[in-house]
Amino acid sequence: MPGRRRYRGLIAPPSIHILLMFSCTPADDWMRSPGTVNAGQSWNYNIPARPNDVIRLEARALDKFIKRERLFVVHDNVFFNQRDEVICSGRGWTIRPQ
Amino acid sequence: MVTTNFENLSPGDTIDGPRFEVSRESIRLFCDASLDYNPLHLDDDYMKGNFGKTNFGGIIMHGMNNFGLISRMLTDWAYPAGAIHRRLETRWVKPVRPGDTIKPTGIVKSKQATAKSRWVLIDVTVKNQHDEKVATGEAMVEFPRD
Repeated sequence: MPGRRRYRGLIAPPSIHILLMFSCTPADDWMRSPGTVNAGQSWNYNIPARPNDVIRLEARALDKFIKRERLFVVHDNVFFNQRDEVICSGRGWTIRPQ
Repeated sequence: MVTTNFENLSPGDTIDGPRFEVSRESIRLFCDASLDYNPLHLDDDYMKGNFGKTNFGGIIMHGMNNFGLISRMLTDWAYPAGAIHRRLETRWVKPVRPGDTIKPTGIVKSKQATAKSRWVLIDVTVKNQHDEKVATGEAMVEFPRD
């Protein structure tokens, strides 16, 4: 299988960022505010995460805006490995309680 | 699913994703896996309230559960061909509830070769058992030259 040759070992599925997002953020992070609704996500995948990698997240809220009387927050998130290589980066739009 | 390659792909080609039955248990498992315990996904009493103009009428599935299902469809399609899932953008257009069955589908929109690689854009849709769209998006898969 071509993919098997490409990676030369086990890799995590790209969607591992779904499982890492909350584990890389503190318990009082705004993402955990009750009633925060996920409106959309856009993710780019650079290199795969592998066993024994140590992953860290840099995340920030970029902007907020009102649309159809709803409060949207735009945020971006970048996951790095222990060599500061970008694993994946994403931008999200959430609807926040007002 | 048929293994594909870049040369044989044409706009309009379809990718079938896995069918997924949503239950309170599957949502709870996703809470445990993602550590996302927002009451939107767990608390029936909380969901009796309104969210602005919206009342969901009960707990809803995580949007990122949808995202993971689409991602699985793309990697199941791309990896056997030596291709790489490089991008996924989604919008959640309708809530998904326990009892729903959802299924992602991809349609090849275009393909393009550059000096160093080859790229395929894919329109993505997730529909429920009523044939209603619950998520839409666009994905990009890279077929490296090697």
